[in-house]
Amino acid sequence: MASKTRWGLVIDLERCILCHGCSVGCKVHNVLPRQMWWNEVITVDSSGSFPHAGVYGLPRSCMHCRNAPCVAVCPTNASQRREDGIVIIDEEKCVGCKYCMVACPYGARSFNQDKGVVQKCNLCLSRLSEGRLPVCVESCIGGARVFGNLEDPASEAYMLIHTRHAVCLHPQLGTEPAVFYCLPGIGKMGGNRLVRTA
Amino acid sequence: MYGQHESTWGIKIVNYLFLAGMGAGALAVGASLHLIAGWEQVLLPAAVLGIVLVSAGSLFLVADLGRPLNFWKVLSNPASSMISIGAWILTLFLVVAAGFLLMANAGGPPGWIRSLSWASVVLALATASYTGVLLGVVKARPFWNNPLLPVLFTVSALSTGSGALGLVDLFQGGAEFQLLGQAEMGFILLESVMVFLYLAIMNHSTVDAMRSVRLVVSGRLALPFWGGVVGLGLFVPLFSYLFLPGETGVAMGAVATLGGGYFLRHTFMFAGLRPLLPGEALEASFLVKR
Repeated sequence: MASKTRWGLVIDLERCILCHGCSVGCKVHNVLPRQMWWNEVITVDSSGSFPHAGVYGLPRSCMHCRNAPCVAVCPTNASQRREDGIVIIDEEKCVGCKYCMVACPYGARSFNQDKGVVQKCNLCLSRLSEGRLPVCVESCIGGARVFGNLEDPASEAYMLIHTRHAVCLHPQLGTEPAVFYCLPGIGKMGGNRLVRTA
Repeated sequence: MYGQHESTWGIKIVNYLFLAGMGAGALAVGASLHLIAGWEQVLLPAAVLGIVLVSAGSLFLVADLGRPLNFWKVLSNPASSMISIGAWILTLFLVVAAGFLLMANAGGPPGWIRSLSWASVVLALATASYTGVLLGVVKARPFWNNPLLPVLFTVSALSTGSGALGLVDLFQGGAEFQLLGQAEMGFILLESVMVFLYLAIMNHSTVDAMRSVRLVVSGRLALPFWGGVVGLGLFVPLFSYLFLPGETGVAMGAVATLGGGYFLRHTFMFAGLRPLLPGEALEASFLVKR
C-alpha cells in the first residue's frame, strides 16, 4: 500500500472566493520571511464585460510533479521526490544555485536570502506525519482545497479529478503535477482560458 | 509580487557566460591556429587568457550561490544535472589549460604540445557550448529550449575569443592581429545571421517564446539588443573592418566585439521567461484572447 501513495491537491476554483486564507495560513505556519509566499492566489479576470464580467482565483504552490524538473536539474541532490510523491528540499545539501527556480515552470520556488537556500511548499510534511491536513487545506473557508491520495480510487481527491474533469497547469511540459484544478463553469467565468493551447 | 520568481539568475551569471565563453574561445582559436597553421606566438596568450577568463567566470558562478563556501557539493550529481556536468567541464578545462601553459612556456616537445592543443580545443569547445547548454536544456524557458542556443553561444565565444586574442597580440606588438581580426569578423557575420534566425524561429514558436522575442525586439531589452548586440557588436566591428585599416581599426573592432558579446548574453539571459499562468501578467493577455 505504501508504494501506491501519491499525495496531491485538488482545488475547486468554483469554490475559491479569493480570500487568501490559504496564503496567510501557509505563511504563518511555515514562518516565512518578507516577500516569500509558498502559496499565493493569482487573480484571473475573465476579460468579460458587464453583465458577464467575472473573476476567479488561481492558487499556485508547488505542484509536486511526478517528472519534477527541479529534481532533475539539482546538482547536489538537495531537491528530491519522496516515495509518497512529495517533492522536498534538503536544506543541508542545497547550495543555493537557483537552477531549480530556473527550471520550475510554475514559479513555485523562492530564494531565501538569509539562509542562502531555495525553499517551497512541502505539503506541510510535519503536519502530515502527525496525521493532520496541510494548513492551506484546513484554512480554506470555501472548502475549495481537497487533499488526498491521487492513487486511491476511494479518495475524494481522486473522485473530484475524474468527475469534474480537473486539469493541471502547463500539461504540454510533461511534468505531471499532483495539483489539479476543477475549472470554474466553462463559458461562465472565462474558465476555458485555463486550458491553453500549447 | 509575482515578479520575484521571474528573475532568478542575474548579472553574475551573465558575467560568467561572457567571461567563460571568451576565455574558452581564445584558447580554442589559439590552439586551432597552432594545429592548423603552426602558429607559435599566440599559444601563450591563448593559454593565459583561457585560464584567467574561465577562472574569473567560475568565480562569478560561485559568488552567485546562496552558500558559496559549499560550492564543491555541485560536483556530486553529474548523472542528471547540467550544473554538475558543467562544473566538471570547467575543472577539466582549467587543469588541461594549465598543463598546456606550462608545456608551452617551458618549450616542451612538439608532440606533447600538439596533443595538449587537441585536448585544449576539445575542452574549450565543451566549455563554450556548455554555457549555452546550461540554458538550452531548460524546458520551462521556451525561449532558451532550443539546440541552436549552444551553437550561437559557441560562435559568440569564438568571436569574443579572437577579439581578446587580437587585442593581446596588438599590445604585445605581434604581427597576427590582422588575421585574428579577420577571423573575428567571420565569426561575427555568422553570429549575426544566427541571432536573427533564432529570433525569427522563436517568434513563430510558442506564445511564451514569442513573448520573449517581443521583449527583445521592442520591449524592455530593446536597448541592450539593438544598441549592444546589433550596434556595438555588429555594426562597429563591420565599420572598423571596412573603413579603418590598421591597428586602430582592429583595436576598435575587437573592443566593440567584446561589448557585443556581453550584451548578447545579457539579452538572452533576461529574455528567458517562464510560460505564463492564467492571470499572471496582464500585459500579455492579448496573446490568449480569441
